[in-house]
Amino acid sequence: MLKILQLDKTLPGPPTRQIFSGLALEIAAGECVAITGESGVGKSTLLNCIAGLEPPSAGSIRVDGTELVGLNDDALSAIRRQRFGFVFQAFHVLPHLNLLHNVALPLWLTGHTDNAAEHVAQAMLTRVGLGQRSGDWPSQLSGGELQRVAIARALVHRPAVVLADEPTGNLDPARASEVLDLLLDSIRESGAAGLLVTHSLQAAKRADRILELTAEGLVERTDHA
Amino acid sequence: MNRKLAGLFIASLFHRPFASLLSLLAIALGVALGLAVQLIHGAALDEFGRSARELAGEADLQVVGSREGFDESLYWVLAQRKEVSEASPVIEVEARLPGRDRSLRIYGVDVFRVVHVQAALVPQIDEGGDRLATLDRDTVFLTAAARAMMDGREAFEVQSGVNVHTLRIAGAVPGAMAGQAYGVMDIAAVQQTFDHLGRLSRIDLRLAPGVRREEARVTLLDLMPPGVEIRTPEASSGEIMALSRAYRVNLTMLAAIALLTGGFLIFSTQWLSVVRRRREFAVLRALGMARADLLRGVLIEGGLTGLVGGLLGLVLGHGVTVLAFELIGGDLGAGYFTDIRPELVISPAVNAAYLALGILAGVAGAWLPARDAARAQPAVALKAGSAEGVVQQIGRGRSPAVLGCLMLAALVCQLPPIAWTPVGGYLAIALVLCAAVLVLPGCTRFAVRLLDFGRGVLWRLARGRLSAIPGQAVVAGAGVVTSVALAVSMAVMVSSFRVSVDDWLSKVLPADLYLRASASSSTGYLDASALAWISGLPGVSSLTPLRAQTLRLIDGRPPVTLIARDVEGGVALPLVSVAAPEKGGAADGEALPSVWISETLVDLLGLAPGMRLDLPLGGSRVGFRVAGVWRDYARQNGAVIIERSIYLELTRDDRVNDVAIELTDPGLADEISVALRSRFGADRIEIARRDEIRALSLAIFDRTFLITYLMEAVAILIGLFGVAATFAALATARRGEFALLRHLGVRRREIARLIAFEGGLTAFAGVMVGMLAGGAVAWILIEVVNRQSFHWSMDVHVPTLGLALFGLSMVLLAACVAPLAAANAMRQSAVQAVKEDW
Repeated sequence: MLKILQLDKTLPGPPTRQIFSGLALEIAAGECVAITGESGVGKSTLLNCIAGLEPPSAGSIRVDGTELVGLNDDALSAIRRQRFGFVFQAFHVLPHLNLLHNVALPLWLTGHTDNAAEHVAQAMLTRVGLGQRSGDWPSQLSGGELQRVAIARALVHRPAVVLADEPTGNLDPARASEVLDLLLDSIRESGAAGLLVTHSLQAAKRADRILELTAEGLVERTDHA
Repeated sequence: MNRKLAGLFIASLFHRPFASLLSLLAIALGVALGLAVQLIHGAALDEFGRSARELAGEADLQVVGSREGFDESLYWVLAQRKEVSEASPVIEVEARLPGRDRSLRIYGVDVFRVVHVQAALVPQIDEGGDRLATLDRDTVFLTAAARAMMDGREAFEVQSGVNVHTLRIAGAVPGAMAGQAYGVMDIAAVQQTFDHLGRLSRIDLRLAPGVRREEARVTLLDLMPPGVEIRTPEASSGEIMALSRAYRVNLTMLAAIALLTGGFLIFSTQWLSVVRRRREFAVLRALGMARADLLRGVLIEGGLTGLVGGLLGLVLGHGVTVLAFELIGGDLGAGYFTDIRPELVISPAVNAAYLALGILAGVAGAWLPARDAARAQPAVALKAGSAEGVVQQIGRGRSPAVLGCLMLAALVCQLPPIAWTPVGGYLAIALVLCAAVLVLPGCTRFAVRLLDFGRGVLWRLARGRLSAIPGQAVVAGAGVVTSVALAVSMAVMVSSFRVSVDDWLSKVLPADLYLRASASSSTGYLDASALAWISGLPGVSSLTPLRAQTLRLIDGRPPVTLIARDVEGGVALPLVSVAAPEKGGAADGEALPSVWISETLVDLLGLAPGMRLDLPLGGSRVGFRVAGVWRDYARQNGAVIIERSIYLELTRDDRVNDVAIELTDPGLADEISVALRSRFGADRIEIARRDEIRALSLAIFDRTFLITYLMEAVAILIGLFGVAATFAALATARRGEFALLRHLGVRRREIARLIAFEGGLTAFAGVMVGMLAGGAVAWILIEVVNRQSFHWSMDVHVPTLGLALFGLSMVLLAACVAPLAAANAMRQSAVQAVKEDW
């Protein structure tokens, strides 16, 4: 699903600063991998490079066999539409669209008809426990509920890769656990490759594997079980 | 608030230099325009008043008649009254100078009387001149300005009828004010030269010691023949003020609109700045800043913009005034004050008042944003999405307020003018604009529903946003509404006026050729023998002679024009209403002759068709029946038309100013013109074809209204600026949203298209509301403001195609401007933006 080889990222200078070098990672379909690490080590940058939002300095990123490195913005945008789903710490649910339309948005972008998009979005909202509230507005929801909407939106178009950056960072522990279960279960069920960036070891432990990003590269942690 | 804290707010003005500069310039423009109009007309009126006082000299009272004057026997009556110490008779003519564009005013005075009353009219013989020259028939004494007009010549020609007389310059008028161009002659010489035997225009009276002016005026009033007034010299200044009042008020209104626009721009930019700085304010509040301090801080920003704009406006206003004096004179080219050389007077009080207006516009514009900023809950403001919340609040419906504004507008339209000013009309315009801005959220939702087609995701997102957050449309679209409403109203009014003037011209100019001996106020005229000669010309089918005179009908107002011509029972007039046929005769058994009055007299005298109007003609009051009301765009002070046969019968005055000539073949116009010039002298008459007069009149009309087209352009720019400023500010607040869309695979140019759709939709709603409001404002301008200011009506003509193109252009321009304004925010990294709360 997702395969990274010899990935380098150096910030242009002067002075230049190497964020990471020689990273390698492979995530299979239905697998969830958590990446932890100290602040500033480059976790989010790695996520952005994978999403095609930041160009790596060298290396290869393949999604379903398609090489992303070297593609132009249009091509990367098209790949993000089709094959990526995102979950953010701050939810980023559009305030002027109701829940159904927020979830249907990726389907609209991929050219689904209205009826089909809304039908699938409604099913997805039901899947995350908000089926009865599809007509509600984001301002009427709590933080946990907003993140459920974001999860539904991330998965509604059946992406190949779901990238989640601190998805529980804005939630209390009880809500965080609930949302994390939902996110990981959904990723696994959908058969996507899930990559979760988090500071929380508790959260990371729910993933199938934990990788720690250090100055030496991605190091697999085996103490999470 | 201490200086450090005040500096915190003031510094924000420099963080948005473009918006601050535009607001400041709009305020400066408003202050400059208002001040310039006030200074120019104030100086001109002062100068005119001073000139009138100088000419009146020591006179306590003046007896004035129409231009044709009154019988000189009145002088003898007044001179013998015990209340009168000195009486000085004057005859005033506007002498036509053959071959020249301008005429020369000549005062005929009694040199033995004038020295006691009017120092400004006392002639002085040139050194070495004949001591009795003041009594010569062909000598004239010129002021320095008039002498300069004669290019060093010792004599010049004046026209009386179609005859020419040579006047010899025998001396000066040393008492005249600088810049005043006129001549003085012996009274008998003027009467004889200009065929005014036995007539006087004015008698200046000095009262006997101890006699009170008002008492004498009331006593002597009974001696006045019909059409002759007795008044104080100051009243003539009042008369000229009345003449130019409407013009001044309308120019001042343009200035007020500019100030209003400045205030609106400040509102727009301040409000957006407040939205952007909500967290900064929340932090300040959390740190302990009081609400009142926050309110004051934002008000200081607006007030400072107003202060700097006002100061700039004062400088500009004085500059414009000096330029106007140099280039177009004290009446801004309107022709009210000829021969007046006003000087710029710097008045601290006027400057302070206009500076205060500038500051007031700034503070008023900042008031609502400041109040919103102060009322915001810091805890809420610190949370994500609070900016959207503020926008949503603005978008709440306010139907009762809209209805209230519209009902109040309808009500104030019914108010009569206050001090000759259409206050109700202007108030109604402001109320309509308020209602238009308030109704915008509802209309935006309606427009979005109306445009419920197209399945494109960007189109849907744009519609979704505007439907859910119509407050965005209020902030961005209010500028569009105001500017479209002003542009549409001016376009409809000017178009209606132009079409009406065009129709009117075709009605009042039916003949092939027009011959004029001189303007009605001047001394050229044609007599019966000239008319007979013209009618005998081969190719001339018929003549319609016209005699123009003035009549004093309304105290304190300029004289009304009397036109004597053949009107074929009113058929030849541009009538707007006619009297029902008379049943039988008048009460005394004899039917009254007909008079057709212009709309001005309907308003000023409360007349209507069928009513009686007495006119002072031939030394007595003659009753007429108002047979109809006609539209007259040429004479703002009112005009009456009577049949020439009646005029001849009453006055025996067979002179005519104009002749309309119908030809057997319009192709003979050139040939007839040559014959007329050869007979009367090319420099003594003016000949024009119907089409030439029409084209010239419309060219003058277009030139006069050029300023409104410029204002429309400015209004459009302001509207687009509103759209640009709003989208620039909102785009910054929406960086997170754009970043999310980028994560979801939306390209940058697609986000630009999304903003373009939003800009276009916002403008569409604004244009829709602006067009409706503009229509209402146009109606108020036509039916209330114009009617009460100038007393003329017009047919409403809507330039549909032009307005449709204008509206479409506005929408397209807004669609182009919005993404350009938001470009900076869109360039921001999607990665960084999603890290921020929004």
